[in-house]
Amino acid sequence: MMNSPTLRRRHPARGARQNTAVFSAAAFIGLGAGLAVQNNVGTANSATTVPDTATTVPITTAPAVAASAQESDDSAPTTSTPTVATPPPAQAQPAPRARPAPQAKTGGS
Amino acid sequence: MSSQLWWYCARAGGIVAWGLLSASVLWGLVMSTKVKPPKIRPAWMFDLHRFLGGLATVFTGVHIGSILLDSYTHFGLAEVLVPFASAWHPDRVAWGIVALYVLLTVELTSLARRYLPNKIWRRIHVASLPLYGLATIHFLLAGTDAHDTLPLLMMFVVTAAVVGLTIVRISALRKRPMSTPRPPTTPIDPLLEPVGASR
Repeated sequence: MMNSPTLRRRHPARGARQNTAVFSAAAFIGLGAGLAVQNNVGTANSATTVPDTATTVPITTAPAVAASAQESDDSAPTTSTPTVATPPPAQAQPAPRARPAPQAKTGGS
Repeated sequence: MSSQLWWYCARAGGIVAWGLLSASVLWGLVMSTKVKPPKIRPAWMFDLHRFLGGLATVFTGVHIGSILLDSYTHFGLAEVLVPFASAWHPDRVAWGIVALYVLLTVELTSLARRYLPNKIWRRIHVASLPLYGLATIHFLLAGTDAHDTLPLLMMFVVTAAVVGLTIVRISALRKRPMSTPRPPTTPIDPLLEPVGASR
């Protein structure tokens, strides 16, 4: 019977196959669209909060850090950004470093 | 939006592939444990089981192809085919790559079942259970949407069902005496039916 030429491959669950394929395609499209909408809504919500944090970048604190770096030589911050570490051209003159000279103990006075 | 089209296709394709793989594994366990409604014909169940597995493979291809086409994430062919080759979380991606190879092995051996000894095919087909675990771990670790409530709930429910049915299957195997020969199944391939057979 198995070798009969009248046999051919059939799909007993043909209707279920079609339903599954349609459902999978619909789930794929729906999920993709849903994720896109969800992402766009999230982006729109987060975009309103970005300027508040962006304006608080402390540019005004840079001169203070630079000044303190010039005054106290041993405690100069090594992790400062290049904009902070680079002095402006007007202040590019070599400041006298206030390193105290080691007290040499002489025998006389 | 259009620039991230393939990114959304990759995410949706991965979720749908995981769902179809889960359905195929569950369907196969229901078939093998004989936990099924009595009026459903075995040939119908077997046909749907095969189709679910094939469709899961197709959507896995959609998932991988979309990742390759996407410009939002930079994945090359080697990074989606070779475990630990990706720069982005190589361990998390590796679970999916190994799952891909197991999936292909299970699918190809099922397609070539009539040319394989039944014992070998069966042993390879048992790898579907680790395959489900690999795919779920990949979904859980690498999935962008895995930590939402609904995907987590789905993973929990499906995993509980797979574990429960596997326990039923193993206990049924242990109860069956090893010396008793199994009766020969009537059709080797239930999809082969005579033309014009009554339904």
